[in-house]
Amino acid sequence: KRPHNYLSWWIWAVYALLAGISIPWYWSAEDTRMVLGFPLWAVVSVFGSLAVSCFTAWLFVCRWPDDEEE
Amino acid sequence: MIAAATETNVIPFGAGALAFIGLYLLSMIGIGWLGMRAKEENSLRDHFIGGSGVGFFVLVLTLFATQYSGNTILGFSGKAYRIGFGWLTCVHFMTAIVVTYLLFAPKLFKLAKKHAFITPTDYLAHRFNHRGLNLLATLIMVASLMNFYLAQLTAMGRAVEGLTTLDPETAFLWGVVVLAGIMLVYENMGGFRAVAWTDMIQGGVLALGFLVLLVLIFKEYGSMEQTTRTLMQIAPEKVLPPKAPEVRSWISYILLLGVGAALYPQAIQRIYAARSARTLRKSLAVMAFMPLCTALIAVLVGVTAAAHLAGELQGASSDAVLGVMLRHIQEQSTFGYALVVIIFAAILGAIMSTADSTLLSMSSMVTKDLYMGFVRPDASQASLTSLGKWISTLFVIVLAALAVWLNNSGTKLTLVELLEMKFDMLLQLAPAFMIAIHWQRMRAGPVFAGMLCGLVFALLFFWVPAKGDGFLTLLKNSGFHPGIYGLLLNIIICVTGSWIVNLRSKT
Repeated sequence: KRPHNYLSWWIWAVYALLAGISIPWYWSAEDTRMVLGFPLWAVVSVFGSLAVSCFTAWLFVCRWPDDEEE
Repeated sequence: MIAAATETNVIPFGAGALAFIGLYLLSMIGIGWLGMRAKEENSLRDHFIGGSGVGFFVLVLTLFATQYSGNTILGFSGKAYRIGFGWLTCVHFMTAIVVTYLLFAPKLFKLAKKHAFITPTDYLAHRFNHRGLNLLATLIMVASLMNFYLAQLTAMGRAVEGLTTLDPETAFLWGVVVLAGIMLVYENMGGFRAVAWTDMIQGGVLALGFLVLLVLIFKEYGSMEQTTRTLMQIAPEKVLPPKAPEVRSWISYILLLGVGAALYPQAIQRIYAARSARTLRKSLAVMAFMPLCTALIAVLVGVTAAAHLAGELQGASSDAVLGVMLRHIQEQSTFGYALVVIIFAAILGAIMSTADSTLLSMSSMVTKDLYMGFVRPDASQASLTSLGKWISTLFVIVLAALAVWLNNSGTKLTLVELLEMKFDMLLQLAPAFMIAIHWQRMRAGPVFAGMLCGLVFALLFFWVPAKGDGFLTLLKNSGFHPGIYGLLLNIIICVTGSWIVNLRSKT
C-alpha cells in the first residue's frame, strides 16, 4: 500500500476549489441579498472556510503520512 | 496581531475585580513553581522544549493560546469596525496557517524526534550544514520576534491604562513592568512546561472570553439581521461584496499570514514538543476549527459596533472599539460588570500567553544558535540553560524600556509598520522549510542567496515612494504585500540555483 502524501495533486485541487468558492471574487459589487441575517456572500465565504477546516482536520486525523508514527 | 493600539475604555475596576485579576496573575507564578518541580534535567532541551514533550490537551491549548494574541480580539474587532464584513479574510488566513502545516509538519516532526531538535535553526543546520544560512535565518527569526514581543508589551500597557485611576503614562509603565515581571518569573522558573501549562489556563480563559463575548453582543445589541440592515443603511460599503483591489488584498493576506505565521519559531517549537505523532495530528485537527470560534466572533463584534456605535471612533483609536462596547455593558448591571472582568482576564491571558512563548523562543535561539553555534560550541548544558534565563531577563528589560519610551514619545506608526514587516521577513524562510524538506537536491548556497535577496527585496519596499509611476511603486500599490514579491524572487533563485549547481556537479 502506498503511504499517504500531503503533496498529492488532488488535495491541493480541493483546496484551490474551496478557496475559489470562499474568496468573494465572483460576486457583483452591488449584491445585497441576505440569508440568516448576514450578506449572502459572507455566509458562502464562512461556509467555505468551514469546509476547509473539515477537510484539513480529516487530512490530519485520517490521512497522516503513514511513514512520518516515534 | 495586526494593530498595536489596544487601549481599553472600560470603567476603572473596583477592589474586588482587581483582586480577582491579581489572583489570576499570581496563579501563573504558582504554575511556574510546579514547572520547576517537574524538571527532569538541567538541559536546554528540558528548559526550552519540555523534555520528552507534552500531551494532546496541553498541546492544543498552548498552540491556541500562542497563535491567538490579544490583538486577535482587539485588533480584529477594530479592523472589522473600520471595513465591515470585508475583514472576514481574517477567518481564512487563520485557517490557512493550519493548512500550511500540511506542507512540512509531518516530516519536520519526524526529524525533530530523531535528531532532538530544539530550535528551528537546528533543522536548517541538519539539512544544509551552512553557517551563513544558520546565522541569516536566526537573525530573521529573532528580529521578527523582537518586534512581535514589543507589540505584546505595548498591548499589556494599553490594557492596564484604562483600568486604574492613575494617569495613562504611569499606568502604562506599571502595566508593562508588573505583567512582564510576572511572566519572566514563571518562565525562568519552569521553562517550556511553565509556559505551556499557563497557556492551558490562559487558552481556557480566552475560549471562555470569546463565548461570553458572543452571548453579550446578541443580548446587548439584538439580532444580526437588525445589525446588518442598520449597517447597510449607514455604511453600505461595509456590507457589500469586496471590489477587485480588496479581493487582491484577501489573497495577499491569506498567503502572507498563512505561510508567515506557520513559520513562527514558537509554533515550530510546539511541533517539536508534541509527545507523539498522534498527539500532534489530533491537536492540529482541532486547531483547524479555531478561527471559526475566535476570529469570526471578533469580526461579528466589530461589525456590530460599526452599526451601533458608528462615528464614535476614528482611525487607529478604533482598535479600542471593544473597550467602548464593554463600557456600555459594564454600566448596565453587576452581572455585566462581572462578565467584563472575565473578558478582560481573557485579553490579558491572550497577550501574556503569546508574549511568554515569544520570549522563550527568542532566548532559545540566541542561546543555542548564536552563542553555542558561533561563540562556545563546547559549553555545558547547565551553563547554557543558565545563560538562556539571563538572556530572557535582558530581552525583557531592554524591550520593556523601549515599549515605555515609544509610548511616552508617541511613536506608534513605526511600531505598526514594523509589525507589517515581520511577516514579510518570516515569509523568506518558506523555501528552506517547505520545499527543501521534500526536495533533497535543493542546495545550501542557492537557499542562502534566495533568502538574502528575498529579504532585501521585501524590505526595499519600505523606502519605495507610494506615489509615482515606477515599477516598484506599481508593485507596492498592487494590493499584494512586499513579502509575497520577495518570496517569488527567493523561490526563483533557490530552485534555478539548485538546478544549475546539480547540473554542474553531474558534468
